[in-house]
Amino acid sequence: MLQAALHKKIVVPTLEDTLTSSVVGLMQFLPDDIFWSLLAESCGVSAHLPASIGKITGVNFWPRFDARNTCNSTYVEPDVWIETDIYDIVIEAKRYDGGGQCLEQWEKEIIALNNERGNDKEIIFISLGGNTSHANDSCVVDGKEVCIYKASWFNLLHAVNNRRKRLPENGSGCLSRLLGAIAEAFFMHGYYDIEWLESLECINLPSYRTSLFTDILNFDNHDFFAALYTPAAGFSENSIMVWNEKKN
Amino acid sequence: MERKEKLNRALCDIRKAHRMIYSYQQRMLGLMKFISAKLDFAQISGVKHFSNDMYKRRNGYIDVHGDMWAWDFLYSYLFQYYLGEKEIEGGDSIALSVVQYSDTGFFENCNNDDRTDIASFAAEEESSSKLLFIIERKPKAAEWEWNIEEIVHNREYASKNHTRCIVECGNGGRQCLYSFGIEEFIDEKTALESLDRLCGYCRDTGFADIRRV
Repeated sequence: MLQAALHKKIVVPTLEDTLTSSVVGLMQFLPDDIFWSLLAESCGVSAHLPASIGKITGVNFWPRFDARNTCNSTYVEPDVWIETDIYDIVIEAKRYDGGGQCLEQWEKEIIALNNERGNDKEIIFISLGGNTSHANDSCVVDGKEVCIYKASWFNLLHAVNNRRKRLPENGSGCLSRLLGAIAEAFFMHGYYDIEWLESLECINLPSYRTSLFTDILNFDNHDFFAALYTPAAGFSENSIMVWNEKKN
Repeated sequence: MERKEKLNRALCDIRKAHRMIYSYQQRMLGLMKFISAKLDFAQISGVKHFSNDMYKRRNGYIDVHGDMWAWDFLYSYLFQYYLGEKEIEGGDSIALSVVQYSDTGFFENCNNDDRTDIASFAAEEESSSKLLFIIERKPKAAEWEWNIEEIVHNREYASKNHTRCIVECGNGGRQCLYSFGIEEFIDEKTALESLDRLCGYCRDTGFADIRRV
């Protein structure tokens, strides 16, 4: 469907859910370590996330959690729930970088996650998009502090493109295509990781003149020698030209 | 030794120039993708102008022959990005190309027809680097006029002094030719403003209702 949308075969609205679905939906097919490293790189520089999250055992989109002890009546629905053997990772996404996330929603989702799961794995909560700052935040649920890691769509796109650039030239075509498709999904939603002309540095070359190279590389030895010597006599079959030094 | 030293300094400039052109062209490619997306066109392909393409022989090697020009090696000098065509209101169609003139110097000097005589080009400081947007609108049943080669090499349109105009076509359609200095696409904000000016001109002249997404 993404390809159909990119080639204008169908018209797809570009909403929060289509962004989450197309970007994170494609990322789930990456190797676990790459999937995680891209998510981690999309967070603020002071996030200090674990280098590894173990083995991913499930990626769930818009899971419906038990709403007990929250203000919701039926269910609570975060955007993505990633289960690993060590962590439960929740992603709450907003359409645009810049504003929209709120503490109350995070708390609700953590409460509902605790209702849902029968374990006490550590929670990694990622607030993706909608953040006014990338500094970590926190909230307290059931007496336990949960760190809220802030990420931006732009940082995630940048991480994806950096990973693409680092791929070996003869390496995995599959990985390259997948990362390329993720970048296209971003593009479709108006996220561009373009280097703009404003960052082009001036190098102040002098004005070019053709004589620069012709002076150095063109060398007419006839003219050169003619400046040093004058022929004593012309050539004939029976005589040999003798070069005399030019008298000044 | 002095000649060698002079050449080495020139070759250092060559290295700087090549790397700068790489950085420049990298940004131009990103810009073209941005323009294509913002004007809602689905593809980008290209045509080299000013001199011939380089092409591969059957044996896989690029043909290098005695009468080729050095310009043949320099694609970024004058390059047309074709962004495709699409249907608009009333059943008409529009097609869009953006032409990158990295240097208008040849076109600024009306007295010179020799593209290999760079000494006769206008001075670099008197020339410009520009984009020429070429949009053709054709009626449903008509063939495209699309006389791109003629437009691209027309001194009036290629010159730094060209701004914008609407041209009537023989097929009953029209062409909108709009020039921008490349500096008018320096960042996202100014790029969007430039595209808004283009779209506004197309609407105000009744050429076509083109909108930026």
